[in-house]
Amino acid sequence: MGKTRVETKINGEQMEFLCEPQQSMLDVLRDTLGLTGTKEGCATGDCGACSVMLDGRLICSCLMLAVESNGRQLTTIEGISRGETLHPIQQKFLQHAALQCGICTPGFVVAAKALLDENPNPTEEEIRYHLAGNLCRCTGYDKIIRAVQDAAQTLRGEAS
Amino acid sequence: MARVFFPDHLMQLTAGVRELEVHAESFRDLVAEIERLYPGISKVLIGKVAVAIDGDIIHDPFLDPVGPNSEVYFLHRIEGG
Amino acid sequence: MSEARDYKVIGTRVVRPDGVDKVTGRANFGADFSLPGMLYGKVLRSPHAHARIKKIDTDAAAKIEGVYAIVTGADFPKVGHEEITGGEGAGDFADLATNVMARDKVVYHGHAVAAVAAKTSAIADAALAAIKVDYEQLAPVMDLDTAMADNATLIDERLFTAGLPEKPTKPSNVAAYMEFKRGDIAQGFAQADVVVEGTYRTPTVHQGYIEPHACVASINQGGQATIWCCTQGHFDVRSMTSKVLGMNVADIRVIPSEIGGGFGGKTTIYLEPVAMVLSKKSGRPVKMTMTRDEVFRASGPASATKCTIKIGAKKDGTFTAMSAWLAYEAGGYKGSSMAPGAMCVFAPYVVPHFLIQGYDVLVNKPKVAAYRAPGAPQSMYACESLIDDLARQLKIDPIDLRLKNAVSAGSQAAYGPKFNAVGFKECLEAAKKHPNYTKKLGPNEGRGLAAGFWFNAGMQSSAEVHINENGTVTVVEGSPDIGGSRASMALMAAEELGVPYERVRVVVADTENAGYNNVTGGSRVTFATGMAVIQAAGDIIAQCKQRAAATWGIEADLVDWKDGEAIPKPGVNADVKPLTLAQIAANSGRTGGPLLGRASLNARGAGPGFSINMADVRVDPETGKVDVLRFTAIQDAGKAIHPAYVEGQMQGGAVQGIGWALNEEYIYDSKGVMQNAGFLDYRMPVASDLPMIDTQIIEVPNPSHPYGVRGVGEVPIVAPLAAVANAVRAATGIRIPDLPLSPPRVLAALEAAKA
Repeated sequence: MGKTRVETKINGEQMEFLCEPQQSMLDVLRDTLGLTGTKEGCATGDCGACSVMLDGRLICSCLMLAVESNGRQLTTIEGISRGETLHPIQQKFLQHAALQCGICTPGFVVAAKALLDENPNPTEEEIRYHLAGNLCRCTGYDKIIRAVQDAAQTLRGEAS
Repeated sequence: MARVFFPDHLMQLTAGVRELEVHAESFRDLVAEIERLYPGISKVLIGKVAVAIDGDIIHDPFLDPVGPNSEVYFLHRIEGG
Repeated sequence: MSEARDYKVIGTRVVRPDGVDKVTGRANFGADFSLPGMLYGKVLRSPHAHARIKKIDTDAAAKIEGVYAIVTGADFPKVGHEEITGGEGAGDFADLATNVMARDKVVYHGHAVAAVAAKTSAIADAALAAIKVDYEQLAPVMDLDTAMADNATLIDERLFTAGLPEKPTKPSNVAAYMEFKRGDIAQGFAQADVVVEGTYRTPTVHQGYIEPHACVASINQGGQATIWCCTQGHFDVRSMTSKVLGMNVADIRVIPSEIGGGFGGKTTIYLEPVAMVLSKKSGRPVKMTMTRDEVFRASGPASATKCTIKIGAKKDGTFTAMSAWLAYEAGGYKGSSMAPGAMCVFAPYVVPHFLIQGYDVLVNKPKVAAYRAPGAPQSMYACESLIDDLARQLKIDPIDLRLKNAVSAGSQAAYGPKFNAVGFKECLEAAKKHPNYTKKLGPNEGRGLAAGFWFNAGMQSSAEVHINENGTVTVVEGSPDIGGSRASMALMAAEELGVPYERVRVVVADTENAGYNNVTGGSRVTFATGMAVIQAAGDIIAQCKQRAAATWGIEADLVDWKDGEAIPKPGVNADVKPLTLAQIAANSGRTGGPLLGRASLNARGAGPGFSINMADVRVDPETGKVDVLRFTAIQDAGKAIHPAYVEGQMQGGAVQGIGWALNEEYIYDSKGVMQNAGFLDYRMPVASDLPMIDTQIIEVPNPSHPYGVRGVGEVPIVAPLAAVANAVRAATGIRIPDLPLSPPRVLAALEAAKA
């Protein structure tokens, strides 16, 4: 079977690529488009390391076929910071030491952004349930939750 | 005289002796003295076991000094994960 | 040696220098690396848990367009038996080589039997499907009882149990027996007023690192190779690969990527030699990654165990005797963590009489690898659970019972030497005073407490410090950064040199430009690599004093170094201004050349670490589900260089321990095939399972480190197993000795108790 031509907007940039119909979005992001910030932890949608936003909705890119992105918009970890400036979520992760090995961090940052885009004032429980799809083996989640709480406060314009 | 202690699994090489007093100023000399008593044991004592000298665990000691009142324990190696 | 002092930067919560790349996705992990012309390598794995390989036919696979190389065991050299002196139960090079690629036998489902390199992953998969292997199936041996039975099917017919008092005449699945004794065990139990006993089982569990194993290998026609891989120890990747392939270490350069978790599971090799042989055969670089399924089936989980503990005590709680019978699964090849498990089991306590018997046992499961304090979680789970029952029986508070028998400076450790200063009692006292110890509990809720211990390692590290022309500092070291160690190295260099943290950069160098380093693991990096960095900084200071002295025309021993500047010693008559590091560096070409400091050492004096963990749980009587309501980790860190990363280790290890206690296990069918080789059903804790993990860092300085540092990475996983189990006991009134305390098991126990 030949390759399919796909046109997608990724992180605000119009892109086009060729892919096999059975290739996942994750594989194309990493192997074809060179966007290796999104990680593969399991390829079965259980760990969230491949989290991206599709038209603003949080999804596992390993569970999506690349061809499905045609005509749609994707946000990956590479699109979270703006130019020279880190997003507050990224800044808070650093300040709170909310990462140790860092492999799950891109997925968490994207998932946290998806949460705060939708719910700017989540409770601790809401944060934990929203992030339950992202596995971390290093931190025990404590500092991640605190970073997201702090980022939420900053984004709401409140003093930390 | 340094006091040297063998764990149970090495006592098979020391004819059941658990504790020895050895006169030596370095770990290398200590092993040489023990080898004199139990020929062949140095192949195990150097490189195959960890050693605690006065409470400090060392992997692969050799030139490390041993004092007149030192306690030397041979241990299974521990690397961790 | 460490003395109390005011630190300028040590102990502050700085942002780690590699942090920005990690929160933006720029940092390169094992699978993020690519080379032009690269092929994709994949492994064909055994469908049987135990079988002889009769024949491998690769003809059809070789004909597939886009396949560039196919390898089997025949492409790997024979490796002689030689102990891997990497530490506890690390095993044998011959076994390592055969684990990497099977020769005549497969000893676990998933064992590598062949590999291909092809233009795409899809073509590689098609090639694997076209390889025909004839197996003679053998009965799988899947648990300790079966493996240790008389007339058990043998996994290695040439294996005789080592360490028995009498040389055995028949081969066995028991690879080794070890004994540790003190005093007279019969006398010890005879002196006791109360004797308690229990048998506990723990399952096979995985370290659960989120990043699967990954590497790119490229070997040229001259035999010079480069391996990019995620690893805890690139020097070990080099030495192990050289042994497995019969190569010169000088011909292998290993470049460590950032590593997405290891916890001990990435201290050995799996894909690297295979990628090398494929690269050699194809003449192209070869990339290999494991799928999550392969990680579970074919990397190195932690030993399942069966532990029987017996404790004798006086009415007032004084321990008179302890015995332990410990059997550890090694997997398809010998070398479990039984020995350190045996050395740790009674380590927190003064025990006048003990007998510990340990067994290293082969089963048809993947060969185990290290997992954070290897061996200790399993054996201490058993002992700490029994101590909890003893406390209940004696009607003594569990903290007081432990305090009564706790080791301190001068106590004889159960594994031999006397302890120098240690912080076990301090952890117990802190637990007693902690507000969480007395928080109110509701119905179906219970509180449990347990102790943890790990030796912590020293071993070899090297470091260089370069001073750049503007006085900034570059630290070059060779310890892959798993948990933020670059920050700690920068803090220590900044403290020693007297410069701001922001002026320091840290590089993790590869095997060709770092001096030799033992693995990142064993809780050793802050301690041992830190010591090398401190000494290398000291070397710079000595050079700076000389350069300043030469500049001023005075003797070097009249120069002091204070707050990043060379100054004449007090009382020295010299009308000179202080010289900063930047000034000396700018002038260094004129005064002797670039400033380069170095140190290498075999660190001694690693300080043992103790902990106390408290868990509050609620058990749902209808479902058997256990919820963790509150968790408190108290641990002696000696000196916390970066408190947030010390807390991070305590919290992360606690949650791994909670997972081990409540949900994690390898589930096998009768044929020896793992049924839950994915994150959905190998159930690790997620954010919604847990509360915040409360931490308290105790600091009883390690007298053998300049700042008092003790390793902290491994201790945290040890105590949670029994802390949670003891909490479940308190909540339900029932002791369930086998882990995990998953809902079906807890529910069954609750219902059996009602009947």
